[in-house]
Order: sequence, then C-alpha cells, then structure tokens
Amino acid sequence: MDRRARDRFTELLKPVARAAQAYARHLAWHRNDVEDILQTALLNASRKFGDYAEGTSFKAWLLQFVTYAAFNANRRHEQIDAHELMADTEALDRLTAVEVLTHEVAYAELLQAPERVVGQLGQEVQEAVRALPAKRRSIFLLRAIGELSYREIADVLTVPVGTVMGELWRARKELREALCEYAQQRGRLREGGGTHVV
Amino acid sequence: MSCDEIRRWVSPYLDSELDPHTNFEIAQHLEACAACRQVFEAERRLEASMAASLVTDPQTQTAWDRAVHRVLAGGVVRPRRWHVAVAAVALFLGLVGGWRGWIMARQDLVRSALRNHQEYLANRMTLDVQSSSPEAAEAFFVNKLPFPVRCPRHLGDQGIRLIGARLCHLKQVPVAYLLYHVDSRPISVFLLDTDDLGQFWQAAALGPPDSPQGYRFGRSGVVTVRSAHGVVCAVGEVPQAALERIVASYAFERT
Ligand SMILES: [Zn+2]
Repeated sequence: MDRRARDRFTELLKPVARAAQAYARHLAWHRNDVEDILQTALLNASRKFGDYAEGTSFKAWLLQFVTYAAFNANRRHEQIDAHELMADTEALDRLTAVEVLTHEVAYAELLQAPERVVGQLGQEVQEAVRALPAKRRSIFLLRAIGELSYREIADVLTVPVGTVMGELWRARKELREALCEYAQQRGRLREGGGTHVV
Repeated sequence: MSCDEIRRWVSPYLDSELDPHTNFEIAQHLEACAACRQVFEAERRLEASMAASLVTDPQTQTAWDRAVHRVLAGGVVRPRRWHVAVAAVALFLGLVGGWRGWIMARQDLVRSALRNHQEYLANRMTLDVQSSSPEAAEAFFVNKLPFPVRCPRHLGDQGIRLIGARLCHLKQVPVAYLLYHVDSRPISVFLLDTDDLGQFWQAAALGPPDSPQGYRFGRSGVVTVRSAHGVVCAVGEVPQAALERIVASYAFERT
C-alpha cells in the first residue's frame, strides 16, 4: 500500500471500527481468537484495498474480511458447534405442549418490556447469539451490528437474498425462544423492575 | 391480509426490506389495527435493545488498535523468502548507517514473545487445552501447526509444571504456546519453525545454533535457542536458570 492508500484506508476504518470490533467479538467462537481474527481481516483488507470501489459501502466490504477470518478461526471449534446444534434440536423435540404454551406467555411478557428483559439478560443474549449456527449467527450480526441490507449481507456471504431472509427469521425466532427460556429460568419476567442476581 | 398474515412480515418490514406494495399494505393495516401496531413496535424495541447489547468491549478495542497498528506499520508482510532478504539487508544497514534506530524500534522475536507473555497474562487468557500431560499438549497441536511439537517429559520432576497449551501468533507467525508454572509463577514457552525466523527482525541476535541466549527486561527474563528441531523461546519472571532448563529440554531432549 502506498502512503496515500494507507491514509485513505485509515480514514475509512475509523467510522466502522466499533461495528467491526463488535462483529468479530460476537462472531468468534473463542474469546482468544478475536485478535487473530481482526489482524487477519485487516491484513487481507489492506492487501486487497485496491479492489475496494469508492462510493460503495466500506463497512460491508470490510465485514466480509472479518467474516472469513472468523469462519476460519472458528473452524477448529466446528465439532463443538455441530455437537451443540444436535443437543439443541433434541431439546426442542422434547418440548411438551404445556411448555410451548408457557413460552408463549413468556413471549408476550417479553414484548411488554423488551429493554428491561434484554438489559437484565445481557450476558445470556450474547450466549444465545453464540449458540446460533455459524452462518445464521453471521447473518443476524451483519444485520444487528453492521446494519447491512439483505442484499449487502447476501453479497458478503455469497448466498441468495432469500437465504438471508429465511436465516434471519430463524435466528430471531431462536433468540426469542432463548430469551424466554432464560427469563423463565430466572423468574425475572414476573418480578418487575430491579436487577436480581440468581 | 389478516393480523396473523401481517405479523408474519414483521422481520422484513422492520428492516425496510419489503417491496413497496406489501410495505404499503402493512403500513395501512398498522394504522388501523392497534394490536398489530403494538406488536410491531415491541418487536422493533426488542430488536434494537438486543443490537445495543452486542457491543464491543475494551479488550476487543485494544485488540483492534494493536491489529491496526501492526498492519499499517507493515510489520506483518509475507512472503517469507523475500522477507528474509529484506531483513538481512536491513540488519546490515542497521549496523553501518543511520537506520539503526529505526531497525532497533522494530519488534524482534524476543520482544514479541515478551510482549505476548505480558499481554496474555494481563488478559488472563484461557488455554485451548488444560493439562499437565506433555502427551496431551502434543496431541492438541497435531495438524494445527506446520511443524511437529514435542514436549519434554521430565520437567515436572524439576518443579516445572505444565499447565496447558494454546495456538497463538507472534507477528502473524503461527506458534505453539505452552504455559508452565514454577512455584506458581507463570512461564510462557513459544515454539516456532526455523523457517519462520525470517519474519523477525534481528533474527541474527538469536546467536549461533544450539547456544542459548539470555536477556533480562526488568523483572522478566527471556531465553531463546535455535536447534535442529526449531526455535524455543521461554519468558517469565523467574530466575534465568529455570528458563534455560526449559529451553534446553525442548531443544536437546528427544522423546
Ligand atoms: Zn392487526
């Protein structure tokens, strides 16, 4: 990279830094991989910077490098991923009609005070996101953190827009289910305000 | 559309991803139906508060700053063959000319390892594998590194306890990291391929093969050696002799 390109690259990085950091942090399977992911992504992006078209979204362009760096880093944990996914499906199969009903009640209550519930379950939200399968997690995060359009997400992951839409819907559904479950476990939905540590 | 049908579109509607026709239809329904309006508004708030909880943190911020700095400083450029030549030329220039200060400022292997040791300790890093068994550590690295990792078997008898291992990077070079304790003081051991030495400035400062080199930086000590099996670098706030024993075991003991 010549000096002018480096200055431009640095300038473009600033406004997207927080989103890129948050994205890497929540996409990484393993806390210790985050720095490697960021470094690999930035190194590859700096090398390919000549390919970046001015006027297009630099954030979307950069997050693609973060995505692939994270997928590579996460690959070592793939077995865990598959294992947890199976455990998850089993748990869903075992849900009885009564549990489904209480979930629905919990969901209605979640919608009553979303900020409070999410605020109290901050850690659990992050866990629930991490429990999503890789591609679904990435799609959800690109939307929630990156605020990318479906088209941009599709381009980042080279998948059809329909896939983005479907996966996003599933991710949101699973996150809501997880939130309801956590909230129920902790009995927080019915307790009103205040922070309770169980 | 019925209320149920309308609610099926909540996700793309809130993302402003619907075609104008469907979008208009839903907007009209929401204007007329308080129940759906409430659901859509609650969903929007739920989604927003989840997104707001998925932020960065100081640790990631620091990691980002370091990564940006390293990438922009150009310290992580491959390919390695070319880089070896550059390193040699730069070292030569450093000895004869005014470039010395600039080159000395570059991270060499020793400082890189020392910094990693301190960073990892400060971050209270978790290990990929926690085990006092050298065999388990070796097994962990199989297929993860381009070189075989051999861990000495009898360090434990000398009060040097293996705690665990993880994969890590020094200046983009993949290395094996092993954590030991001596009197519950941590010692970081880095193993790398001799071929990767070219990635580090001042590689020549490592000294001739098979002869351990020691350095002190305040309370921290570093001992390195390169042997036929690769490069070993041990860092810790312990007497130099303990570090020397470890690198010697790695470099010269074969199991
Ligand atoms: Zn309605």
